[in-house]
Amino acid sequence: MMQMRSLTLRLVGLFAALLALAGPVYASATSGTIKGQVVDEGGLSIPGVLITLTSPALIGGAQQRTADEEGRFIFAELPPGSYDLKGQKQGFGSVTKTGVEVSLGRTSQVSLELKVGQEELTVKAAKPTIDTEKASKGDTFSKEFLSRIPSGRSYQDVVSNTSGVVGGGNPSSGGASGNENTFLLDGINITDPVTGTFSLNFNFDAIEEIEVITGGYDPEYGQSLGAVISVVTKSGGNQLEVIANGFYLNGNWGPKMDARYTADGYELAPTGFDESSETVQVGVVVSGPIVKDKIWFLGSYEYNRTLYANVGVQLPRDYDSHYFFSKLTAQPSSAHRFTVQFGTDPTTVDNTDQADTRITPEAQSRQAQGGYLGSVKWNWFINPETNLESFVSFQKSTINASGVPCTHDGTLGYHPCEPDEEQGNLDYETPGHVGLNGAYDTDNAGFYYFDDRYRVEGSTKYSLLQVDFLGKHDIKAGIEGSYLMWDQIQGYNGNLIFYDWYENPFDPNTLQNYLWIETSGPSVYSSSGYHVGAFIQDVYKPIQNLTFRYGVRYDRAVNRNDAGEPVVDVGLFGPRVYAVWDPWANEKTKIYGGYGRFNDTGRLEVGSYLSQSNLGSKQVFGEVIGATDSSAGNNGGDYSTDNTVTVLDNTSAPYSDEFSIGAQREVFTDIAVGVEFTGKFTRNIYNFDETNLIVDEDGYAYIGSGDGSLDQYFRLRTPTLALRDFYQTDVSITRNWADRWLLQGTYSYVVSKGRTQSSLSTVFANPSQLELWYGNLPYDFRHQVKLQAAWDLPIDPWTTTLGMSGQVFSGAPLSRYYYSGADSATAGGDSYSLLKQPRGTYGRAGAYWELSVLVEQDIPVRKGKLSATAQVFNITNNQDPSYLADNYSYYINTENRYIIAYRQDAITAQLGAKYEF
Amino acid sequence: MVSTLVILTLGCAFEENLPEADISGTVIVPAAAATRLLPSGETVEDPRFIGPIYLGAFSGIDDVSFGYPHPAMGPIVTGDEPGNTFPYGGTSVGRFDYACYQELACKVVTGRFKDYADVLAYFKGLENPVVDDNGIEVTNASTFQQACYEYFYATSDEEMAFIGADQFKVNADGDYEASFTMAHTVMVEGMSVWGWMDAPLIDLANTSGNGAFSTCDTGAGREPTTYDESYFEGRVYSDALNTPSQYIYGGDWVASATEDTIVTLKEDAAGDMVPTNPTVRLDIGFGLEDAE
Repeated sequence: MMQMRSLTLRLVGLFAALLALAGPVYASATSGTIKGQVVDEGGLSIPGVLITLTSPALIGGAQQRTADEEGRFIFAELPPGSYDLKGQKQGFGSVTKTGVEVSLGRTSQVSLELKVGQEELTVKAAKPTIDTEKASKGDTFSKEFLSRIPSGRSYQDVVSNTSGVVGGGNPSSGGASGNENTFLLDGINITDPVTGTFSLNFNFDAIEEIEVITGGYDPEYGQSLGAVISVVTKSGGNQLEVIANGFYLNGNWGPKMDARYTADGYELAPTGFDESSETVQVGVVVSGPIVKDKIWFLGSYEYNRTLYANVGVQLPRDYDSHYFFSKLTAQPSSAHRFTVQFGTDPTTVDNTDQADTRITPEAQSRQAQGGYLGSVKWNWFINPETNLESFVSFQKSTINASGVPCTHDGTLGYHPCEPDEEQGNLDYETPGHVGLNGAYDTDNAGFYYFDDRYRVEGSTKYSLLQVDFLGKHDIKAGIEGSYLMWDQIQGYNGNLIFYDWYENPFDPNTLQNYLWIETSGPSVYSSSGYHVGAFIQDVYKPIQNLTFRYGVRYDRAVNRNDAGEPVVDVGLFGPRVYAVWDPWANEKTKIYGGYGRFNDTGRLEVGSYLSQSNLGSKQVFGEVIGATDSSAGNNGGDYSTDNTVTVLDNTSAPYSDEFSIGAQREVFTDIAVGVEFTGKFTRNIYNFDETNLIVDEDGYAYIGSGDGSLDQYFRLRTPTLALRDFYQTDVSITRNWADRWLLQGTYSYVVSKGRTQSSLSTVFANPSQLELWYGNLPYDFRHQVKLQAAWDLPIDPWTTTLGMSGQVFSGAPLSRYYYSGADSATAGGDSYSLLKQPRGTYGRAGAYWELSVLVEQDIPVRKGKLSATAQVFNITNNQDPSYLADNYSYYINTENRYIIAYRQDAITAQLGAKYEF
Repeated sequence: MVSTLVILTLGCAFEENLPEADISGTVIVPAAAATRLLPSGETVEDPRFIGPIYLGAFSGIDDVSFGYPHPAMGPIVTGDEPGNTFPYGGTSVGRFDYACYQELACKVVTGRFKDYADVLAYFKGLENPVVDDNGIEVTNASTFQQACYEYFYATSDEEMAFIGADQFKVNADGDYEASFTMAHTVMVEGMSVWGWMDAPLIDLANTSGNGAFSTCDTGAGREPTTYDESYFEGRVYSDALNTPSQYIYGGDWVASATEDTIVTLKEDAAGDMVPTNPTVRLDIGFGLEDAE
């Protein structure tokens, strides 16, 4: 208790310190920019024009600027949305451009034409198709896109629509693994500090816009070798708005194929074919003013209930989630804006073990997970060309898992085990018993795991815009810091766990059909780390149609293991230089390219591989587990708490050098085509190898060891040999949402090669003496096509929206692994780890494709807007292999077949309704 | 642009400064080690008689404790067990490989056979012919090949490691030479590379065990489930380098301690300090008169 109080005090103190230190911050992750020029009929600039900007998205009321001597003006730090821009000057009258779109990270160029003696004129702005100042690669998904394209109604699902991105949830981008992305929520890093994955869920209808940057990002973004996924939520407005929705998703109604066995009876790995799932989703978003133009609020809630079952299991996995997200935005004066956010997503998961059909309900396991995020942000608009943005945030994530009937943790809805609950229900002490009612105990049922992760973050960024020095400069600089903590306790509910396999009773006379684990008590793991980053960047326009984006980022990171040793201790520079040229200076063409280095400062997970406190246990195997007999001499392995790790003095950190070049051209109004090439070369990926065991010439068997034991001694390395090479060529067509339809399509030719896909690889680990084969990595889908389209049928007010999303991937590469006895130190080990051909060159799986559709029907009602939605994902129920892991758990082996890591998700349908007013 | 190129150049390789090196060298097996008296009464020189060779890097050589040069040991804790040699690294030349029939467990060494028929002929010559799961002699190489394919899920001979090119070349002295690499060996200047060859058993009177090796544990390794659940394919003992004297018997060949086996650092053409390349001669036949 004292320890927890101390921890809380430390965290609160740190939070307060960061808040006190935080100054102004720059925020292109959450905003866009409008730049423009006022000209007369002859194209000559008109200085001194008063420019007024208004929008429902703009808290604080209208903003005004006066055009400079060249007639130019800029509005920065604008929330995404639609804006009206009015220019007026004595003697010229006025002109208003309506519907100027502002998107995340984008500069919208506007030209206002004033005529002498002109009366008030209103024109509709054209949608910006090409951003001639932007060199980054990726997509921005607007509200229009999100509501019209089939998706699983989560920000994680939307990401896969971007070219070069494979998979959803935690996707691979630019050849990186799913652990190398950065997730931002309103500019705040919500990436899991331990695993590098996403960590917070919230109501899909609370999202304003999503930006997915897959390459060429500016120095303000760091710590990521994959994509930067930036989600910006709505902020409310001067009008009260309510969105209520309910959806039901069913994954069971599609035709099932018997995919568990091949025609000749060979059993395949379980796949999505065999799963069943149902989800109910109910949500509400309420937003509006507390004080008009001064204080806005947004509150959202979503309830999710999902039942998911593998074929043959006795109980489905049962997800119960509550997502709550709220936001308060206040702009008491034109110079200051404050934003306070809080989100939480507690989830409970019952019956987590779906792998073993023999598990009875009494022996199942539970998991409680979720967390919360709180943040305070301050925008200080010092003057129209100078602003600061600062925030501090605190995030905690929790995963608690344990066997029924209790979790020993009451914080997330579960109650601790009372002695009388455990007594008689779970018998871990008497040999020969297997739990309540003869249930087959598993390690999940006996194992508990309590995990807390913390991130405290502060950031300050400064923007100085339109600086005149041999052209125009938009300069930005910032610092950020975060402190990460990871507390973990794991152990067994009792000191003995019994397993009973194949429904054969334990025989105390022969000691057959059993395994027990004697444990030395819970393992407590606690580690921490920090990251400090600083950057400076300049968007420099020496002439109007040429833009240079350059700058440098420095990251300093320390990640410690539980002994306090700095496992990762690095300081890294990331220079970036890009150029964008608009050859005809008409905003319809751009040619761009550049170089950037991105650094991965690691995660707390890296340090945990060099933990100094392993869970102490001794395993005693029965015959069925694999030993030749059950005598003490042949059984057992003593997994003590020895220090079996080595922290090297000389490690670096993974980095990617990325080169890109491309061109984009608006060929028709709102329609652009483009071609782009990216080469990304990643080196020094975190790797572990083992240093004690000596193997024979081909790694087939141990022939000795450095200390005479078969203990494994691991160390962290960052060798240059641990590398990935990635090449992507895109041909794209983009049609903005306008005139009732949108289109986005990309063909990509992708080459993804290297020695390891993982960001935290153990390919060197065992046996460390073997050669590492360079070859095709698992995401080497050479041909990729992504297409999204939507059309609103012009039958207002009964508007019908049709949306589709299609993806085609050529086949995944196959590796073939061979048997290596050396991978298992004990008799009976059965392991395939010898790669005798270059990785991923043995063959390829077949191509796969998927088509999903959406139909949304508006239903006129007296007040507000009511719509009904139907979505069908993978409408043809294709079930082809979608991913073959580059891991010898999934190898070509028995009868020369490859084992599929994942297939396409089976056909799924979702029905729902949404009401807005 | 210049700064970018400089950064790229500097970033091309990261020097880990590992305390280890890959030691490459040559092992020489005298022709006598490949010459054996067969049950037929014929004396034959054949590289197939070269068994697996175990090589390690050790702190020094002990010429006193055994009847042959032996790696320096740690303390002897119990009277009947040698002390541990604590090798800095090691490897093998040749290894036990998959036996496609139970009868072959731990008797086939990689790289010594040209094809399946060669394996059958070898054991036939030792008067211990290869038999299948039912104890029936295998005489057809295709049958043998098919059994191996089914056992290892192989589709081509390239996937069968034990059908390899000969590892040894005959040198000018008529001895057998092979190269080796001990990867990731802890680099200690002055350390000695030492090794020994486990010769196959050839008993002229009782031929049932002919072709077997003392370093092989037939109770270890993979236990096939589709072939015979009681059959382990066999694997080398994991302390072959730590306590080699436990496995060295009459007929085995041991490396002599010479200057050529000592590893030091030398400067290469690029000015880097790299390990020297040791030459290990297995020129001491241990208890040959007892074995034959």
